[in-house]
Amino acid sequence: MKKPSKLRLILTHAFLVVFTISVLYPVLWVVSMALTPQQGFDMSLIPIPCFDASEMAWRCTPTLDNFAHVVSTETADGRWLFGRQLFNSVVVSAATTIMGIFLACTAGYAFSRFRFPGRRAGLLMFLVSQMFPGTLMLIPLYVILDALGLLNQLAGLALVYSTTAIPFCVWMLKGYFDTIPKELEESALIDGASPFTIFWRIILPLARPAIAVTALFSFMTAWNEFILATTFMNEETAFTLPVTLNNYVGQFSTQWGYFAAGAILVSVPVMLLFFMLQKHLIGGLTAGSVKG
Amino acid sequence: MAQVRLDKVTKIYDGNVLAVDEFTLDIQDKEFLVLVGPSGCGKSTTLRMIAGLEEISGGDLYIGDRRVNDVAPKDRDIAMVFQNYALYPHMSVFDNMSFALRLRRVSKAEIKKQVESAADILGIHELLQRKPRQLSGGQRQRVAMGRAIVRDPKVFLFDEPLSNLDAKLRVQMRVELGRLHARLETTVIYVTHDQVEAMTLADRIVVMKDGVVQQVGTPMDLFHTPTNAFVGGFIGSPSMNFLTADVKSEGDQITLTGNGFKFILDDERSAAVRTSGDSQIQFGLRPLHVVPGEPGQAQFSARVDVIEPMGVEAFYHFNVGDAAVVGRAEGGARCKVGDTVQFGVDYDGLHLFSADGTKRLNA
Ligand SMILES: Nc1ncnc2c1ncn2[C@@H]1O[C@H](COP(=O)(O)OP(=O)(O)O)[C@@H](O)[C@H]1O
Ligand SMILES: [Mg+2]
Repeated sequence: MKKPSKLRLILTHAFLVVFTISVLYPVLWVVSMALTPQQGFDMSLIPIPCFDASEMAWRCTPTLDNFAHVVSTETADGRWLFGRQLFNSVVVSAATTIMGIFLACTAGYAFSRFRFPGRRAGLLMFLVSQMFPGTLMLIPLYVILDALGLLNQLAGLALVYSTTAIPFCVWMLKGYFDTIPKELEESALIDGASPFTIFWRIILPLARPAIAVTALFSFMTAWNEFILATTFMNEETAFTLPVTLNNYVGQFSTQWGYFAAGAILVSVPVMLLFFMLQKHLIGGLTAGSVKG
Repeated sequence: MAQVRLDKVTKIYDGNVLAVDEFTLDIQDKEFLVLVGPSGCGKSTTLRMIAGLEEISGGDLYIGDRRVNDVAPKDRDIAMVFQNYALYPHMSVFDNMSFALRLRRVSKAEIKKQVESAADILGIHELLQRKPRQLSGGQRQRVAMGRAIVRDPKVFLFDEPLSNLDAKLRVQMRVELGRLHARLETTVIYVTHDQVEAMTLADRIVVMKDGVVQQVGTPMDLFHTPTNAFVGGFIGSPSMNFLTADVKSEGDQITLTGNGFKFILDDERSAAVRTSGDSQIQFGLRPLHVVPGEPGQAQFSARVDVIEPMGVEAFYHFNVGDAAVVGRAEGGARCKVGDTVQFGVDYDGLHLFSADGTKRLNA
């Protein structure tokens, strides 16, 4: 390979630096707000906690107080509210992820491999359902959950999140299953594998990258969502974290410090999950199965 | 014992595509049978019906004495090697080869023994711990065969197993396949579109076209007595030359005339043409029987367009009327491009067909 010219290297790096800064800048701002004890909205250009850029002076001492406050919230009767809400978020997101993966894998496989009446229509319906914003479904979903007696219940929320996540996941997995050569399955069939064994021992291991993406997507759908959660959950102890987070943004004043600290705390699990799944997010797992 | 018997086996896809039409054949125990034909002629479909991967639309299929139309692939006691190898990419070579045995709950020790013995046969012992992606094309091919051997099946099915390899490796693996068959003594059904593979490997060849069996026979049968012009043209390299001729009766003799030639046939061949009653026929001549500088029983005289020297032989390309014809000189070229040369035709190599090429006229 030819070595790129110096000018080209400089330009490439300049470009990357500019974009990195523009991506990180808002994040730094949030971090800065979270570390500032005041609950005000700091408009300074340089996001350093407590540092007043116009006067080049420190206004206060950066602390972790905001984090402590957010984590230690309590209910009226003195029980740990943040813990309860974290638990809610984890349960709902995990349930959504497990349900999403399970149903999307099986449905995606069926759509990829079998020809049955309604196959095309089904796929199209999934696609169409993705075209409407989730809030459009708010009222029908509310009515349905009410009828099922699942309002204010984690199960209800998980159910709703799964149904919103699944169409994307099914398409994603179907597309991936389509790329797995059918000869692999035929070969396994001759080797004596049952359809379930083929699915479990050949197809699923090969679909790991797509399953990882699906898992991440389902988890994030549930973890970050707040409009449906605010609508369906009306007790503090049933809230998920994004709902709480939103409550720091008041009608008349906003507690920016708590909000920022909460936002960082909420994004940590997603980041962790991403790092965990990262090594599975590699393509080309089927390399070597067929002519290379 | 593993004869395979096909009785009017037919495949119709989606209710209207006739892929295989009444395929009837007895395949002997330990026979190496090759299905050959151009792409789309129904070879793979036939093989896949034998494997149980494709439903049989009509007719009966027997493996051994058992009718297996409705038997699941795994219970047919066959092993199949696919064109693209179909190795399980996430499993090591050992796991690939042992997959079937593990499913059958064979003991660990027994599995190890069988996989290693197959690996020894194929010379892939040192690859057992690798993943398929770490193998070259030829090695993958061996692993695919190894996976089939380990299962110790009654019948091996191969679908164009060598067509993804480069030319040199293909020749090498072809020889190994022949050796393997001799060693394993198992019935093999082998699909290819390459007539050289068919000729070199087969005990018997089945030539197919458009889902219909054209001819079944030993390689030499097909080479020396093709039953129609298609088989004549398909088998042999370089291919048979074809010319159309008008039939004229001159006394007892039949003369074949066309643009640029006049052949006076001998008694036996005259009789064959006369019996057919055709006024126009087609005949085939292999380059082997068109020899420059020989008197022959009939002659072409033509300007040589192209010469292909091959070392032990040379092929001369020329035109007779509108037809392109190839002749063969033993030992190499003895003229230049542009020279006008006399080619002698040997009537032993004359294949007489009906004008549409569907019927052979001489014995
Ligand atoms: N799954 C299928 N559905 C419909 N038609 C098919 C299918 N598979 C093969 N065919 C058709 O059947 C014919 C024979 O195909 P095939 O057996 O694959 O040929 P070959 O292996 O000799 O190249 C072809 O015309 C092909 O288009
Ligand atoms: Mg084929």
